[in-house]
Amino acid sequence: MHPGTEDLLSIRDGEPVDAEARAAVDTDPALQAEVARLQATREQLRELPEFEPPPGVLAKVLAELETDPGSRREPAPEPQQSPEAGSGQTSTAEAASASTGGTAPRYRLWRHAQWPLRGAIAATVAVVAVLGVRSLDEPEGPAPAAIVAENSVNAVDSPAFGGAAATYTSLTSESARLERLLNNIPYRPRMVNAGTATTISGLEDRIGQVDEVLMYGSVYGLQPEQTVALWQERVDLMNALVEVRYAQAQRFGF
Amino acid sequence: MTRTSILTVIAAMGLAAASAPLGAQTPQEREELQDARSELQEAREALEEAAREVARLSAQAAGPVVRSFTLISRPAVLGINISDDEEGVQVDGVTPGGPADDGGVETGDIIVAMDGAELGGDSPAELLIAQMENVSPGDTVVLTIVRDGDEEEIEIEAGSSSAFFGRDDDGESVARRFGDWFQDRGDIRDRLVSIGRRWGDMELVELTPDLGAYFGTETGILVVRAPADRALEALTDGDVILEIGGRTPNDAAHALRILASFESGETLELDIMRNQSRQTLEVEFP
Repeated sequence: MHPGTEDLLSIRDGEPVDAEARAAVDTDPALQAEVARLQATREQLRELPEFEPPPGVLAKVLAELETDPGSRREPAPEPQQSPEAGSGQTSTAEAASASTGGTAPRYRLWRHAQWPLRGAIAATVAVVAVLGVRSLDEPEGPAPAAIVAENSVNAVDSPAFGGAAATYTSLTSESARLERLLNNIPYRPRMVNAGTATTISGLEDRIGQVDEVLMYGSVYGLQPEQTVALWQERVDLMNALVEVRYAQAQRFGF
Repeated sequence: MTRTSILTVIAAMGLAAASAPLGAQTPQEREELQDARSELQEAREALEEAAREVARLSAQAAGPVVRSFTLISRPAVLGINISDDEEGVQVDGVTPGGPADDGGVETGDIIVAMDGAELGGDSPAELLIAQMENVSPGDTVVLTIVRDGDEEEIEIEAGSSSAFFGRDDDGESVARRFGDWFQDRGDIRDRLVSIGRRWGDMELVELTPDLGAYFGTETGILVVRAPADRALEALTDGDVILEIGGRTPNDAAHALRILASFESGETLELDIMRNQSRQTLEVEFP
């Protein structure tokens, strides 16, 4: 059995995994290296800036999650995590709830989670894929969320050219996948909200700027680390654009 | 692994709002529906704010690495990024909303000819870039591409390059540092963000000829909801924007881009149709 990305992520997170998958990782240095890389990615994601939506949304998000069993996934045992992470969040929130009541503890839960911006992007793109903007035919590829998370690594830190080349390939592949995802979002509505439209325009403008440098840079001496940095930015921007376009399509599509 | 997000809520609430019965029966149901819609709007605004933050942060991350790169661009742009391939020029990325995207070019396509001239040799990408020297914004470019083994021709209307800085006395394209160009474009994006925040409640729709018959014009951008902001208080629901500062918007998004080209303190003229009568409004850009 060849473990898939979900298996590797489960091993990384200390979750139960198929015995054959576990055995394969235990005996294959390449798979072990991949698990280590995923671990490093998670650590980097956790170091990213905190993102806090407006107060009204926080309460609603948590209420939705707590009342809808289908949208919540019970945290798996994570022995290496600190008390503030994973299942510890629940007890922290419950303790706060007991002392203050209402929605305030839910805010604390959110803040304890310290949801990083790129983590949010990764998760939302996963939702895009799950909620069904038409699924793509990629039988060999890892799960969408995993791809996004992998590519949130700071590629510029790659010490060797070999690493940069591998990252370059990964980023271009991810960028292409996001483009296909974007093309599958139903339509651009004729009626637009100015806030949404300006956000989309800003993202497209910046992607166009990156593309122009990549196009001419391919001939005029853009260095490998510069190329990788720009591709990383392109993937980040595409992630954000997919999110906003998806939300826009929902607004007028439902 | 947590897989929740603002978008989850948007999806859930969007579905909930959509599945709510039309004309909720009781005051309590109506109030709940209104609350859900308000929360949904807040979630959307949070998502957009996050997206703008992503753009800002990712630009910050890449900026120092590429700031010193000297860019030599061309007057027109196709909205693709490319690399050499054995058979021609490989399309590595297509700018969303750009000319190539509108024309139907896809990432992974191989461009084997441009305007009938084959792209081969050691560096097909270099040949394509050299050909771009002769293309002006608005020109139609015919790309011969290979996709899934099949060859086809795609027509693209070239766009205007924001990275073209003019020509020197010898007619050569002027080079400029990426960092300087980035700063200029950043100013425009900042104005877009500013408009989004200030007039984010405005809703616009491109007029169709049938719809336009009710407003006395075949084309224009209908203001479905005017912004609450006082700077645009002269604009009201039902106005149709015909021109902004003498420029005709192609669609609603284009109208906003035109607005973003104005700087704070400038006075712009809005040509509108109101009650089937053409009027000009003067607005001081905030």
